[in-house]
This record gives sequence, C-alpha cells and structure tokens, in this order.
Amino acid sequence: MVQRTAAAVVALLACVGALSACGSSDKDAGAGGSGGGGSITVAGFGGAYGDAEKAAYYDPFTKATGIKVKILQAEPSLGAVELQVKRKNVIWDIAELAGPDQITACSNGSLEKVDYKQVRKADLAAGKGFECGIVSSSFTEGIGYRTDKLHKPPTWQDFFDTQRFPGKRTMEKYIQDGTLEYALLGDGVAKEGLYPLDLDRAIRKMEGLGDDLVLVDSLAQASQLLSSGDAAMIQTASGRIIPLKNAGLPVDFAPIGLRADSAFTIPKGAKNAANAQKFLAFIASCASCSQTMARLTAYSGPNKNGADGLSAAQKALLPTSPTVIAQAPAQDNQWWSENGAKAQAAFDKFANR
Amino acid sequence: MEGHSSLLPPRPAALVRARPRQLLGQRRWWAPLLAALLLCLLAVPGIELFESSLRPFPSLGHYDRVFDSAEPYRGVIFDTFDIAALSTLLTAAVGLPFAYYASMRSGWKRTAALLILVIPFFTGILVKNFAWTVIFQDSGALNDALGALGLGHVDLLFTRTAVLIGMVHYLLPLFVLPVYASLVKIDPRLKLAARSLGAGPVVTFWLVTIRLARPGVVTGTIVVFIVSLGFYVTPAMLGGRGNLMVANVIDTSVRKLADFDFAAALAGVVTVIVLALLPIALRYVRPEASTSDSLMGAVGSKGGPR
Amino acid sequence: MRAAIGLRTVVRRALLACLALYLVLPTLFIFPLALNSGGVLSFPPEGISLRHVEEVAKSATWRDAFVTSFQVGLLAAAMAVVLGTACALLFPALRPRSRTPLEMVAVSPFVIPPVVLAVAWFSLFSRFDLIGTRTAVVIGHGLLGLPVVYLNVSAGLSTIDARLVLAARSLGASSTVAFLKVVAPLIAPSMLAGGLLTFVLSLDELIVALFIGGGVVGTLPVVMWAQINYVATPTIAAAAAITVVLSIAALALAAMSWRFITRRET
Repeated sequence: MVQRTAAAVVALLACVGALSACGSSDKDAGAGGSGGGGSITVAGFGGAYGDAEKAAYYDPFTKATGIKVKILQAEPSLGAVELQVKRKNVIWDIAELAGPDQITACSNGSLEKVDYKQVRKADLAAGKGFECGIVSSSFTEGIGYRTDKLHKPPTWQDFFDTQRFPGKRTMEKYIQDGTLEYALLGDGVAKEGLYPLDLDRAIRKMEGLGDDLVLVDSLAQASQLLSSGDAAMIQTASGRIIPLKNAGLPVDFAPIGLRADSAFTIPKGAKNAANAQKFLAFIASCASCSQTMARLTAYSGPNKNGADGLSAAQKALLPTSPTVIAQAPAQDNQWWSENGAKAQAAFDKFANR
Repeated sequence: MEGHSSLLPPRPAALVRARPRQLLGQRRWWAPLLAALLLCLLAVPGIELFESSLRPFPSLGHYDRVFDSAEPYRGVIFDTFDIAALSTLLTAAVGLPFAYYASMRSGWKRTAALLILVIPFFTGILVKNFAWTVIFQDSGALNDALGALGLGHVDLLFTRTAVLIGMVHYLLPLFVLPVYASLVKIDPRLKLAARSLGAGPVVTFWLVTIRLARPGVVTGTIVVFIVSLGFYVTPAMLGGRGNLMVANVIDTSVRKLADFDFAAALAGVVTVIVLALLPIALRYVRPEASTSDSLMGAVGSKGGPR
Repeated sequence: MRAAIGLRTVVRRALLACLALYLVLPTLFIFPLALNSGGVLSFPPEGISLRHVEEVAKSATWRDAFVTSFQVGLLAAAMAVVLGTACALLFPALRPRSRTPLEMVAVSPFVIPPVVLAVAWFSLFSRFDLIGTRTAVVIGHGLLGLPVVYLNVSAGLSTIDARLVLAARSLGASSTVAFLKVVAPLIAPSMLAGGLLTFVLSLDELIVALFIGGGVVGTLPVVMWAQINYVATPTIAAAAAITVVLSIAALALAAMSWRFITRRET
C-alpha cells in the first residue's frame, strides 16, 4: 500500500506540474513589475469598464511610451491601499480609487502627490486634477428605471413614492455615492440647501420605503434587480444602464444625481512611481484617450477635449453637459471629510435594523 | 450470518479508546518545531492584532464603541450568533438523517448521496448566491413555479429565511462529512450484539449509534457553528437590513473605512466568545475515556490491557 | 400493515428527493444561466448558446485563474493535511497546560473572520516581502484548512483501538511501521475528508486571496469578484459551470486513485 500511495503522490505532483505548464507564461512575478523601468502595475475596476480603460488608456500608453501595463484583477479599495502603505509592501503602482476615497487617502498621506511638473494642468478639464490623483472617469449618478413601469424620467421625489410607482428601490450602502443626499432631495430639500446634511431626516425618508428599499453592496446587484423587474428604480451610474439597454431591456437613465469621479492614484512607496507619474501625465494630455473612454462608457476622461467627436445623445449623459450640470447637486467634500464617520454610524444603525 | 454473541470471536473491535502515547511512540522530536510554526504563523499575528485593537495603547476605546448601545455593532453581534445558532440547528436537523442514510446504504446509493453532497461545494459561493438571487427574486424561478402550481407568491429575497437557506446549503457538507465518517466506522456487530441482548431498535440507535458517532457529530457541529459566524457573502447578497453579520461590518471597516484597529476590536470580541466556548466542545472529540469503554467492557472482551 | 410501511417509505423517499433537489438546485441552475444566449443573468434563458463558455475558454485571464486556483488549492490542502494531522497526533500526548493553548491557536484560523486574518497575515507576510506571491496565498489557505483537518483527524483518532497498535508492536513492528500500517490507514479517511474540505475552501476563498495576493494572484474568486462588481453576466456563470465540471472530473480521478491505492493485493 505504501508503494501505491507513493505512486499516486508522484502522479499527482506530475499533474500539478503539467498544469503549471498549461497556464500562460506571464505569471505573477512577485511584487510590482519587473525592473529596468519598463512597466507599471495597475489595480483598477473590472468588467466592461476595465476593458474600456485598457482600450482607452493602457494600450495607448504602452504604444506611446513603451512602458508595459500589468493589469490586475484586484479590488482597489481604500483599505487595501492603506494596508499596503502602512506595511510598506506596496505592490500597486497605480490604484484607481473612488473620488471620496482618494481624498481621504491623500489626507492620510498614503498617496504620492501628482507631479504637476510632468502633468500639464492646461490639458486637464476643470476639476480633473487633484493633489494626489488624476481623474480616470467622471460620471453622472442618477436613477435607473424600468420604462415599462414609468412613462417619463422620474425625480427623486418619485423615487420615494411607492404609491404612484410601485416596485422595489435600491440604494447603495456606500453612502459616499450620495445615498443620503438623494433621500433629502426626495424629501423636497433644494439641491443648494443640502449641506450640512440633516441625517435624521434622510434616514426617516429611507425608512418610509419600508421593505421596498433594498440596500445593495454593489451596483451589479442593483442592475440585476432592475433587469429582473424586481426593482422599478435603482440608484446607479449612467454607464451601468448602457449594457442593459444594449441587451434589449426596457430601462433608461435619469441623470439627476451627483457628479462623481474615480481617480488614478499612486500609493506612497510604489516601486515604479516614476513610470506611474508618466502614466498620469500621458492620460492628462491625450485627447483621443478621453474620447475613446467617453465613447465606450459614457464617462468622461481627464482631458479637456474629451467630449469631441461624440454624438449629442452621448454628450447629454456626460457630467460636463449643461443639462446635467443644471440638474445635478454637487457633493461637498469638505463636509464629508469632517462628518463622514458620523454619517456612516447613523446610516449603519439604520441599515441594520 | 454470525449473530450469536457467544460465537463472536474475541476481536478487539475498533472502540476501545486509543492511548495517545501508544499511537505515537517516541516520534515527538518534531513537536517543538510544530509548536514554533503554529506560534509564528498564528499566535504572533493574533497577538499583534489584539494589541492594535487597544490603540492608542492601552485604551479600550474601540471596545467601548463595540458595546455602545447607540452604535449598531452590539446588535450585529447578537444577530450573528443568533443566525449562526439557527443555521447550525437547521444543518444538524437536516444533516443527521442524511448522514445516517448515507452510512446505512451501500453501493450506488451511498455514492450518489455523497456526490450530491459534495458537488454543490464546487460551485463558487459568489455564483451560487447569484443563482439563489435569480431563484428567489419576485420574478424568479421559485415564484414562477409556485404561480404555476397555484400556490401564490413568496417574498423571499432579502429576508433572514433566504440567508438561512443559503447558509445551510453551504454548511451541510461540512456537517455531514465528519458525521458520516464517524458512523461508517461503527462495527455493525456492536449493534447486532446490542439487539441480541434485548435492546429494541430505538434503544440500540440511542445507546450505540449516537454515542459512537458523537465525535463526528460534535466536530460537525463545532465546524458549522464557527463557519457560520464568519459568513459574509451570503448575508450580503441574500439578506436585507437586519441581517448583517459581524464579518460584513468588519469587512466594511477594513476595506471601505481603513479602520483596522476597530475591526480588530470587533474580531476580538467574537474570538473571545468562541474561544471561551471551544474547550468545552473540544472535550468531546478527544481520544480519552468515554462511554464506549464501558460499552466494550460490557459487551465484549473484558480485562484487556488498558 | 403493508400500507403503513409503504407510507413511511414514500414519505422518506419524498423527503430525500426534496433534500437532493435543495442540494443540487443552485448548481444545476448555473448551467441554464451560463448557456443563456442573452447578455444578462436571467431565467428562463432567452436561448441556448455556448458563447459565454467559449469566451471563458478563450480568455487567458480565466484559464490562468483556473490553473492558479487548482494549484493553490492542492498545495494548500497538502499543507493543511500535513500540519493538521501532525497536530492531531501530537496534542493528545501533551499535558492540558500546554495542550489547551496550542489547541486554541491551531483552531484560531477558523474562529477569526477571514477579513481579520487577512489583515493579520498581511503584516506578517509583508515583513518577508511575500505580499502578492502565490506562496503567501498557499500558506494562508493552508492555515485556513488546518483546523478542519485537525478536527477531522482528531475525531478519527479517537475511534481507534490501541490494542491494534499493541498487537502490531508485539509482533515485532517498530513504532514507525506500526504507525504506517495500522494507524495511518485508519485515519486516512479523516485526512482525506479534511484535505478535500480544505481544497474546496481554498477554491472558494476570496478575501485572504484578494488581500494577501494583492490582485497579482488571480484565483477564480478574485477574477470573478472583479467582474461581478461591475455587472454579473452569464460569463461568470459559465466560468462557474466549467469549475463544477472540472472539479467533478478531478474528484472522479481522486476516487479512482484511492481505489487503486487501497486495492487489496491477491
């Protein structure tokens, strides 16, 4: 029996060895990219959005500079970046963070400052260059809705009216995306008078929806519920509705939410920080990159000429379009950086009842 | 077949408790190595984590926050133990008969039972939960089926029931496998012996089968309870408000808020509670004196070397 | 009388059928979701098409994910079995004073939520610059499986008759041989169960792999997570379906090799 066991173990090891040969040769080369100034490691968001970034940003960057881009299937969360920086084992050169997270990380000192000697501010559209990051995409948030249940685009008050518009609603647990702001707007607060946020009022409004309110961790869940018809309206971003529309579903989008961004940042202590700065400089100056991004995702890139060459319908969804700017409330980052924890605590208490 | 106890050969059936030293002999040279490895890989990080929960050292501020009634965390911890206990009970209720069935059958029935148990294991939990979502949603397969049968409509998604269904589904193999392994090792002649001594089927089952399967059952129960405490994907995807578990809250604390110290405090509270309960439960899996000794003493060979 | 017995059997069979359905339902569901010709997850499917399966098979990212996951899983299972069995064999021989704390340490990866373990191990592995390496993920998953194997093998050991060992020793076997020929075969099922559970745990594990692997180690859950967070598509269901099929194949292979190993010599 011992011999047979040994034989089986050898066979198993051989299989494992053969399996490794099956995989592609470009394996994880340990931390960071290879040396010799030839690459950067990027942790960005995935799915179709990630594919769009590859076409719009990474491939053109490699073509223009010869620096290779290693794309990771990672979830670049604030916690992950902070952990790497804290423990001085940074393996991401570029981390794509949500706007509010980028501000928090910057004030914590966890990000490298953008080298504005390389990045030309003149190339950037307004509000796309931060102290510690360059915008990767700006998008409009708003209400995704079923066109078979609603006949015209809804307002935030409609969102909270389950009498006239029955059906579930979804809102995000990630309150930095505007959950509380939308609740106040739904309660009739004018967008100029949102801040300081009346937390109790917002939570009472959400409670009013009762079981019809579903709090989701990811917009993917929200999209799923909208596709199936369980939800009549969801809090979402413009780019999420496009794939559903393309799949033929009766959905549409009302761009009446916050204008928000995601930003490319460089964690402090990144191994290829120099190349990463070059990447930031490149996307800032590359007009065609931003245009490709807008065409593929309806999100605008950092370059100021990024809206050129788009159709009128596509332009209308961009956060830079006049219609959007007229409707959309602006998020007060200052209030959030001071009161974020308090808001989170109040929301968590509600979310868990 | 053989059935008369007097004709049973004096066979040391597999039930006298094993003496550890006899099993291991003198091969304990690697003991310090093993201890060192465990301490480095597990104890040291654990201690560091505990220390970080007391920051700024030596403050109990984070722990205060965990138990603060104005904060949601106390409620979440109660809910977590609640859900875990319930899912453990349900898993045991469903898993015990299933394990018994699998151990009593042989051939293709046994293989089929085990296969049905193990195959769902290979479906990733993320996708499995999406499948449950598609099944449970208002316009989903379950409601379609119920509608076709004229049985109305259920609103299962984002309820505790949905979370429990999802959890028990994942936990069943973790329970059934150890119990099955225990049941399968019971010498059938012990049952025959008990019956021949006049015990009815229920008594035999109670005194012989259940007692001898105890290590497996306890292992299964411990494993299931503890794994349920740490669940986060299922409650996140299938649960609604009021169904958050502590792992979700810790996850938010770590990944979204980068508040590692507070997360450590939350984890610390759960860990301490479980580690307090653990030694009690572990006593049942130890190879020490137990009822089977007295059982063997009564039934079979008396006066064997101990 | 016959009618009553018949009813019990019918009820029992019905219950078993329900249980079987419950167990396989989500797994079975993956297949129509994966073969949906449409672009979103929906049931019933719009039409049947292999396009999502093809997409997965053609994609280097998914292929690498499969290989990585299986490798990491096997290695982690091996590590867990070795360490867990060693613990199960060693701990009963210790005095309670040293045994209890060691036991708690060995079982701790089970008790502490994975996200906390991820943070704790992050600081450990970062000291050796191991973040983002496959080794670190293997060690992490191996440690996650250690308590499972330990508990299973302990339970198995507790049902072994010491006299079998004594008999072997009295017949002249050394302690090593006695162990290999008497104890090992008896705890083998427990070791196997523990190893299998570890493998599956590793295949499914997201958080530790995500943090410790830093996105560089692309196991299946990590890759799926990145996709799922954008929108859940039938492609992910296709990857899951392929995993199920491959795992069943691997299981069948393992069962055949088991039979090969334990086949009695004539």
